[in-house]
Amino acid sequence: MKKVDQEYIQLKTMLASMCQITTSMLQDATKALVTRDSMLAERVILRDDEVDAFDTCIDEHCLKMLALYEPKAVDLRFVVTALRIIVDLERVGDHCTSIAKEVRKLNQSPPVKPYIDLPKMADVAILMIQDAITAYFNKDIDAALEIIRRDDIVDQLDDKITEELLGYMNADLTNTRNIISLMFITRSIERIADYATNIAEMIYFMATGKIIKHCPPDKVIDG
Amino acid sequence: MRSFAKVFLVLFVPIFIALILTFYFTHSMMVSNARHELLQEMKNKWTILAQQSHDLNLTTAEAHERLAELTQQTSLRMTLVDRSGRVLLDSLVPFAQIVAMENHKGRPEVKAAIYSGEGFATRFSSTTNMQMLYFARKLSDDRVLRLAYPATYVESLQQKFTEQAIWAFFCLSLVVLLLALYFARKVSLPVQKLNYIADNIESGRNNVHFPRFKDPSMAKIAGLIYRIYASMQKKNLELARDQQKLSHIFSTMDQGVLLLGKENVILHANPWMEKEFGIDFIPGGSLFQATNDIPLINFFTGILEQATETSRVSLYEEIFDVSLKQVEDQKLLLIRNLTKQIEYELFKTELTGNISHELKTPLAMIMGYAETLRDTPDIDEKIRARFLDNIFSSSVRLNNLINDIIELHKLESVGGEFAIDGVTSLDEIVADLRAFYAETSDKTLILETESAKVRILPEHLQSILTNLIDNAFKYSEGSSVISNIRRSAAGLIVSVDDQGPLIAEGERERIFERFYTCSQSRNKKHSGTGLGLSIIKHIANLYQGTVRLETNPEGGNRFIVLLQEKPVVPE
Repeated sequence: MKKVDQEYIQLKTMLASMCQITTSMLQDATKALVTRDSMLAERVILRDDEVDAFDTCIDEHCLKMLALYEPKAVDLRFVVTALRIIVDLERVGDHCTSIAKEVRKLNQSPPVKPYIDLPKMADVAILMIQDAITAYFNKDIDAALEIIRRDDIVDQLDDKITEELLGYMNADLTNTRNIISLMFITRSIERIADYATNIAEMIYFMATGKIIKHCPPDKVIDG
Repeated sequence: MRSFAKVFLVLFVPIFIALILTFYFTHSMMVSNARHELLQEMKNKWTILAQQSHDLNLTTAEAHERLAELTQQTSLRMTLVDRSGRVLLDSLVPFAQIVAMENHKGRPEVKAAIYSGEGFATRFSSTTNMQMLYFARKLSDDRVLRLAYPATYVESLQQKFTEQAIWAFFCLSLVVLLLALYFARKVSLPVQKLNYIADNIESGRNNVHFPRFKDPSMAKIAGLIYRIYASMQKKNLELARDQQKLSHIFSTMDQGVLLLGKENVILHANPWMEKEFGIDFIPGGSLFQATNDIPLINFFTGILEQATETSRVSLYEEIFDVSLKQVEDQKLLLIRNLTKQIEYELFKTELTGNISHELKTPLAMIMGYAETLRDTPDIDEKIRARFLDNIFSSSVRLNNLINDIIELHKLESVGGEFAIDGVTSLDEIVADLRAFYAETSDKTLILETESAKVRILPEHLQSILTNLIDNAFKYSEGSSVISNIRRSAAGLIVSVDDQGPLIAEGERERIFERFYTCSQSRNKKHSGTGLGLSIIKHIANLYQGTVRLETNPEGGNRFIVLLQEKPVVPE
């Protein structure tokens, strides 16, 4: 096997590990909220260091690949896209840490409401990130466009939960602090889904060389 | 062929070049000798003529005439030139024209004779219109006597020799060529044969043909190669057999075997791996190139990075027991799916708990009522009768439960491979069931059969029908239960329809588990053992069949049992 192929495989395994850590962080943060497990939330906060370490490691690896092998065309875009993906995954990790911190605070007081849509929203966001990285490995444009479309589901859930939380706030103003925390968590999950969408857009760029960042998804699909 | 050409060129080219050089130098030497001889001859002639020139006054017309005659006879031209280069006499030029002749001081041979005593030159003469050899020497009176002779002698000699040399060269070259071809073939043929053997062995061809060698040394070498080749073939065959055996063992193993080389290159993967993980483990490719599935990539990364030899790793809610062995540069992974085993262990624990619970409940009731009756001899008759009824019904329940457990155990120990010794008459079973339910229940049982005889053991068929009809009678709120037995292309179908209420969607799979009873039936009035449907499922399995629950058009439950009839083996 050529040395350059080994480097690509290493990049792939490192990205898969980083994706696994960030998605499991979100999963655990949501679980910590639903099961009121503050210890689990603490563990999520600690895992952010792992994500940061992967970010640095992959960054250095990509720069080494660019310097040593001077990749061209789609190979160049593959490495450049990896450099951008790790930035988004690192931010996802930061959002998960913020969610865990909020959960830690929320668990100190009685639950505001039963959590039904919030875990659902987190599951959609997790799947979006996992599918985005898989699409990156497969250089799959169709999967990337499908992920962009899925962002609407998260947006709808975000609106629904926010509406519901506002209703709770109107009913009982003493819970405002906790409800603001929940709104923050909802907003963070929505941002995580946006990062998945960003990754999907970069995958489209990697596979075709076209930038669709500022185009509405329907236009891209029609085009 | 390449070796033949090489040997041929090695033999032919040096000899050919040597021949060319030999002929060239011989030719040059011959011409040089001829020229030298001619010059010597001219020197002799000059000496004779120089002696005579003392006696003759060469500048007279008479002398010129004699010399002209001599030139005509011998082709030897004589020219007398004074020190200033003026021509005094020329035997080839008429006497009268001599005065008009060009000054000869510039002629190389004359020049050399004036300054150094004698000179020699070869050049084209415009006077004779041919190539001439000139020899000039100074006489004692400072005049120069020059003799010239046509170079035709040398040229003809050269031409003659060249012709002969070409012929000789051609013949010799031909001989050398033929000899070179012969020796090249003789030398290269064994090499070609060895090359042919080597090529065939290298290409991996079986039964390689070994050509004969005339040369004893080459035959010895070929024999040695043949013995090595034969032993190698034997070893290869043994290796292939061992590999086949190993592959067969690996393919029958109920666990994954994955052998990885350097940089996690796949060396071997048994079919279990492909079946379990759904990816092609192509030998020679990298493990991480085979899949783009993130959990799977992380699963293998985690295994390969682990420090311990054995570990328990989960993937997609399944649990795997992984053993990693490092052998030099290679890694051997043994992967076993423990999910079913863990599920079974969990199930066993639950089952034991359930059995104990189900047995303890009626037993506790019997003990409680019996204790009360024993300790209270003067109890009211009505209460005593009720307590005795409760003891009896609890005993019946306990008995039913024990019977069901025994039946279930019996069914589990039978296994799918059994034959029946005779057909079962449906009429008898149907008649018994009708009579039984007509007496014990106020609901109507409609039993429809399309076949008169089936190849199912009567106790099995009875168990299926009794359990299903019992359940329908117990839990259905309708007034009738319809049962149908018919044959179809898929097998024998036994169905029982009630009129609801419907069993919830989420419980439809679980009702076939042991001791599972629907939430709506959890009341004292309709308590069962919780083993009936499990018994049906087991019987269906014995007949390679299935059991499922559907909603019938009337909005009730329809249990459908599909059975494959067994062959009849007479005793």
